[in-house]
Amino acid sequence: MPAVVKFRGKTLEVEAGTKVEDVLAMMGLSREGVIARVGTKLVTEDYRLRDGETLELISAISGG
Amino acid sequence: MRCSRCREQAVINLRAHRLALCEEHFVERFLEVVERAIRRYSLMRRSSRVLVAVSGGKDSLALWDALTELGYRADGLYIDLGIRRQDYSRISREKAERFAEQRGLELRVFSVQEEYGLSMPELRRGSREVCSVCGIVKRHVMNRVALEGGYHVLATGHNLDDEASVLLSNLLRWNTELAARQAPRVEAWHEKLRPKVKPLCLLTEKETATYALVRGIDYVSELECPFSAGATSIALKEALNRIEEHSPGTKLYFYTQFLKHRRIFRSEKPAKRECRSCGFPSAGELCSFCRLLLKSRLRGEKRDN
Ligand code: SF4
Ligand SMILES: [Zn+2]
Ligand SMILES: [Zn+2]
Repeated sequence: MPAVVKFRGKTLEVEAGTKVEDVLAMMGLSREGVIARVGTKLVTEDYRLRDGETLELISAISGG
Repeated sequence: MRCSRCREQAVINLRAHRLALCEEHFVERFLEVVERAIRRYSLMRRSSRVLVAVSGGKDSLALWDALTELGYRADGLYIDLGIRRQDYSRISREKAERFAEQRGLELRVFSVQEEYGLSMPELRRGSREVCSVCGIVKRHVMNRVALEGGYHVLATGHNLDDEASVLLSNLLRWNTELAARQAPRVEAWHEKLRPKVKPLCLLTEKETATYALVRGIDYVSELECPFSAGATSIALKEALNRIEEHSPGTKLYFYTQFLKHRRIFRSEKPAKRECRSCGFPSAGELCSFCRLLLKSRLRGEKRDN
């Protein structure tokens, strides 16, 4: 089973074992600009996604 | 990654400080840094009555939460701008109200519509950019409530990314006048004004968002303001974050070193005139807020005739 990534209402699948930092690189996001959450826990960029887990990327940047 | 202080699972990796922290130690450090900024830049005293401008977003609520945790006497001010699109004002007002209620804090709600008979979007109709009108309205209301409520300082939730991106924008244009005025504490230059302070100026946007999440603060994302013209500021923030990726600590260095050298920039002392209508300091006979109000009312009368 793959892992799921959610960002700004979009969803994509990645292979289990993928690191959060690889997901960020793939999506062209800076780690300074997003927070990674798996379930209710915040995780650092070296975290490896497991089968069936959902990684939620929360934007930390606001305009104005 | 493990917490540098206790070896528990880390929730954030602060590369600029070579520090990974668990929830508990992250919160502890966040509060330490807020206190450090308050002392280093003499932002306020223990006994100060503080008015925190809250928008319902992560930064202002995180600030209010942190000041309260540190034992400061801080009340909140929510300015209801009357933005009906996407229910923005109602939703953000509810977030601010719920936050205050849950923590037993005093929130002052100031409705622009109730007070002046027009909402912020109505005030700007036909004239300038929304965000610039919004800024004029918010500034006026903050000054007024701070004065009338007997507060000593006005605190806003500007974080390091906000400050560094504004600084970059000012320097890209060599707007030395604006750069000279950028500071964690802007002194009151008129008896009706109160000093404006930014206690989160040493913390990144990621840190304030993480703090809000870890503390269980329910906030509205600023991006959701339907008028958000933040495109330029977001682009600058993203550019700084790219640099930060390569050289962690650049944002903090850029900003804090600027504060050390700030004196090389000069700004004209604002004229000490007072607005004929509201009495607050003003560049002309009427302040920019009262001019807005007058123009909108004149437009209204024309329509009625
Ligand atoms: S995005 Fe613009 S209009 Fe919306 S709250 Fe911020 S300054 Fe006001
Ligand atoms: Zn720890
Ligand atoms: Zn006025």
